[in-house]
Amino acid sequence: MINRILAMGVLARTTVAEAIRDRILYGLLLFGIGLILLSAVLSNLTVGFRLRIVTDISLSAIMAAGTIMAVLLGVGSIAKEIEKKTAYPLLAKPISRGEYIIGKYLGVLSTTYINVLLMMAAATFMIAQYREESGHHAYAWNAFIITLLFLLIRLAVVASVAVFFSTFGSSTFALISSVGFTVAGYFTSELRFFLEKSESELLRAIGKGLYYTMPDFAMLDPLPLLIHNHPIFTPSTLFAAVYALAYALCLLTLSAFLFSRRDLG
Amino acid sequence: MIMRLASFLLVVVIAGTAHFFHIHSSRSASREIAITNEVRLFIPDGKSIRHFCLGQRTTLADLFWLKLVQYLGTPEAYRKGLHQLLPLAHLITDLDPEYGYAYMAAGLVLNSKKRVVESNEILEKGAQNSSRWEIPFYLAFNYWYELKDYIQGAHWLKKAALVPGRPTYITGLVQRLYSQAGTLDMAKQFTKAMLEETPSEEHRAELLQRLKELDIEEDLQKIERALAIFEKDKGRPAWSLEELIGIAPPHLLPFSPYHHSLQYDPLTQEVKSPLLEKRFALPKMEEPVIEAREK
Repeated sequence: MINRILAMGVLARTTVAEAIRDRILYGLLLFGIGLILLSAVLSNLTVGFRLRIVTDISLSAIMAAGTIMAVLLGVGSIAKEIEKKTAYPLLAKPISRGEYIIGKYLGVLSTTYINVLLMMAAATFMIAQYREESGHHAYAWNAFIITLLFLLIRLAVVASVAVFFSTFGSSTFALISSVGFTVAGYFTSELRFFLEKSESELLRAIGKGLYYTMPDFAMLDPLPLLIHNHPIFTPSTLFAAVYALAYALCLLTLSAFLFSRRDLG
Repeated sequence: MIMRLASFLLVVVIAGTAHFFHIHSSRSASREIAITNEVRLFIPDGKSIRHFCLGQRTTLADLFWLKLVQYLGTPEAYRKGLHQLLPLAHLITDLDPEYGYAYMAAGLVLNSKKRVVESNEILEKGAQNSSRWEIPFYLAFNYWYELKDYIQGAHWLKKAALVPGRPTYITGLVQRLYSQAGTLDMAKQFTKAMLEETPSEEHRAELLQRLKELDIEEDLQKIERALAIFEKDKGRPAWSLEELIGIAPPHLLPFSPYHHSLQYDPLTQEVKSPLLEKRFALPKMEEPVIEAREK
């Protein structure tokens, strides 16, 4: 058991080492940090409450850059490696395909997290410069940290989506599907809202089915609560975190199952 | 070498062409603005795009807020009446219904342009969605000062006085507004209700003082009416307040614990109390108030 965990750890470490050499990551990192700096510039164009502008734009920039990283890394480290057959020597070793998937996933997630944590540090530094402007309320650093944690949780789900589509399709298919699925994840509650207004029983059932099948990213975003100084650490956010982790775990299990049945020959 | 030079020249030509058309397009747009006399903004329908912004509603609202601030700072737009301010404010608040500043800024600026109906439209939307006390306060000002509708003014001011975090003077304003609209009883009832809702001892003491002032004001108003009845009945002004006993109707005689403080000057026929620094003036009732009351 320990050997298997160690093997997955080695695989994750190798994935990080390979991914970190990818120049596109640096591009995305610069893009994210650039947007965070831009938020400070934009905040000078507003009247009052600059803290809100900086917080809002910085965290959105991190989420956007982190999502693109998770998708590209997830697709690149599994689907592309299979296409290029560079994954074969690894798969020939005494390691199960499930362990391969989990090791790769952990590598993808670690690389994404390293970059995202750098952006988070930049955003926190920037927000700290404006904290005096939070009015008569002290800036809700606890809520800010919970929002960052949720951002990491969302990225874990995005990475699991990318890994899932990489296990049974080409890299192009995996990329398009991952992007589509992630984008759709922001519409699930809207989709349900619209389809539930339909008079057709079938459409309503489809709406409900899609709502429960696709990830609900809107539920995992406490940024509006942070912005409006509402309580964040509530039972509903706790349930949302458990839901997201269970969702990612479910996709990983499914990925491991599908990959173990895939004919690579 | 020649190929490199040619490639470089080609890049320069393409970049120059792009720059030329960019400048040309920009100048043309400026002329169009001058022709239409209005600064054109792209303002999508907030109710539609809020479904398609990938969960980034607050960020998008921020970006449009920055646009609103820039729009307000455009002299041309200001001179022409800021006709796109209301749609822009609606867009921002559709994206983020709790965007308190957007309601406040739009409400205030529209008021300054004497577009009170539009100002009330955005402020009433704000009062439904935002918890800022300033929003009902501005509404009260619009109704009271601009539309002379004291009943609605007092209604919104009362709402502002109930919002946590409002300044304490708001409660005093509510009383005066009710008093000036001639409904002193309502002011007293509201103050008593506020007293029950207020846990802060400091604020309770302030409210008790205001209740005392309202009681004295009520006494003064009753005495003034009793004096008028006395003068009509006897054909002369009363020499002292004691003369009123037995002449004025009993319901007009003061009952508050502070009535002993009342002082009457028979020469000027003025009644006052040293416990009340400033009387609640009763303004002339104007049409909207009368209409609102009739409704």
